[in-house]
Amino acid sequence: MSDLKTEIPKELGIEIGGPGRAYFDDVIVDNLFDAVLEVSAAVWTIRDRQIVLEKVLSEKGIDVSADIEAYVPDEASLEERKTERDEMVARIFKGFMRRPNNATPKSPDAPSLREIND
Amino acid sequence: MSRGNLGILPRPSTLADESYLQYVQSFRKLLIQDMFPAFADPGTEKYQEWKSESGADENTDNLDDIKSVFREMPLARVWQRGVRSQQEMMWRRTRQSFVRDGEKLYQDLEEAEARGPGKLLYNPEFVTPNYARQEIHLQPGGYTDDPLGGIVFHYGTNVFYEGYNDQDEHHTELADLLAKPEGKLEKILDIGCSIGQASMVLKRNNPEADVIGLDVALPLLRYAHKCASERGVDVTFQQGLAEETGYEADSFDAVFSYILFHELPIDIIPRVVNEMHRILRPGGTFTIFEFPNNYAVQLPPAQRFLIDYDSKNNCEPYSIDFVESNFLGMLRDAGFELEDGPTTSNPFLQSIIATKP
Repeated sequence: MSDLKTEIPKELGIEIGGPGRAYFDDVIVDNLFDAVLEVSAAVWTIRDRQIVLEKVLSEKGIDVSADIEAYVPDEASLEERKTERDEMVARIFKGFMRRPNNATPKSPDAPSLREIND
Repeated sequence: MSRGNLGILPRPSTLADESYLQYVQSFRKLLIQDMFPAFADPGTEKYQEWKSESGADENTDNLDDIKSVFREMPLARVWQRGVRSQQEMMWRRTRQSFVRDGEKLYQDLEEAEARGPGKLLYNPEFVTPNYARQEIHLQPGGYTDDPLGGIVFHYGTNVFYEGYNDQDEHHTELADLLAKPEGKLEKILDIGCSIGQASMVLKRNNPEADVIGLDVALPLLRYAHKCASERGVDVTFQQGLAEETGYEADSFDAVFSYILFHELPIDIIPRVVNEMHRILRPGGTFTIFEFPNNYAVQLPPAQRFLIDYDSKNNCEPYSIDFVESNFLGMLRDAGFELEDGPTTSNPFLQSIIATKP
C-alpha cells in the first residue's frame, strides 16, 4: 500500500500536540511566554486586517472612521464577535492547559522519535 | 476559497492566517538573526572561563559542559522556548489553513498527475521505511503521512527560511552551483528532492538534460509534480529510496543533494553514498550542500549548542549522529575524489564536490 492516505485528517501532529516541551525551571514561565507570543501574533493579525480594510475602502473613496466610532451592533453581530473573542482567549491561554501540574513535559534533552504502530 | 499565490508561494486560505504566519516569520527572524548572536559570544566566553577555572581539557569541548554553561544564560532559555513555540505555531496554523481547502487542494494534486510536462512515478505497493516517517521539523504527519504535506511543507518552510526563500531564491542559488562534469551532461538526479524546488532550477539551467527528482515522500512529490507542470518545467519526480534507487550503474552525469544526509539514520548514509557512486558514470559529479561535521571537534561551542538543541527540539532525530560522523571519510571510502565546493550565502552549510574517477 502507498503511504498516501486520501482521507485528509483534520488534526495531525504528535509533536505539536500533547504537553510539548518546557525550558524553564517553572513551567508557568513557559506558559506565559506562549501566551505573550500568541497575544502579540493576534494583535498583529488584527492590525494587518485593519490596514488592508482601510486601504480597500480608501481605494473605493469611502472614509469610514466616523461611522466605525458611531456603529451600534445588532444581536447576531454581538454573538459572532463573542465567539471569535472566546476563541482568541482559548488560543492565548491554551499553553496553561497543555501542561497542567500533573503533566511531565519532555525534557529539552529528550530526542524526538515517533513510535510507528500502524 | 483559494487566495492565489504571491509569486510561486501559495497564500494561506484567509488573511488572518497569512497575517498570523507572517508575524511568526518575523518572530523567527528575530530569534535567529538577533537573539542567538546576542548570547552566542557571551556564552562562549563564559564557557572558556569555566574551562580554564575547572581545569577541563583545553584541547577538547564536551557537549554536556557547553550545554550546562549556556543554559545558565536566561536569554539562551528564552531562545530555546521561542524557537520551539514559533515552530509549533507555524505548523499548527499552516496546516489548519490549508486543510480548510483540503479537498479541493487534494483534487488539484490528483488532476495534475495526468498532466505534463514531466511525470510522476510511484508504485502503490511502495512501503515507506519507518525511519522516514518521523515528524521532521515537527511537521504534522512528517513528509510522508499527510496527503497535504507538500503544500504545508512549502508554506511552512518559507516561514523557516524567514521569507528569504519565498521565490526559491536559496534553492536557485545552490542549484546554480551544480558541479558540471567533464563531457556530457544529459542526466541529472536531485536526490531527496522534496517538493522539487532545486529540481526545477536544474532543468531550467540544463534544458537538454533529463532531470529526475527522487524522494521517499509521495505527498511532497505529488506537489512537486503539480508545481512543475503548472510552470511548464519537464522534470520526472519519482518515489524511491536513495539507498536503493534501482537505477542502472553509470547512468547519471551529475547528482545534486541539499540537506539530505542529516535526515538519514547513520547506518543508511554509507549505503546512499555507495549508491550514488554506483549510478554516476566515471567523471560524474556529486554536488552536496549539507549540515557541517564535528568529527574532529572543529565546530565552535555555540554552533554545537544550536545543533544539539535543533536535533532534540525540532525533531531532527538523526542529525547529531551525522554531525559527529566522518562524512568525508564515507565519501572517500565509496571511491569519490573530494574537493571543497563553492561558498554560498548560508555559512552554516558545508559544500562538497565529489567526483567519481
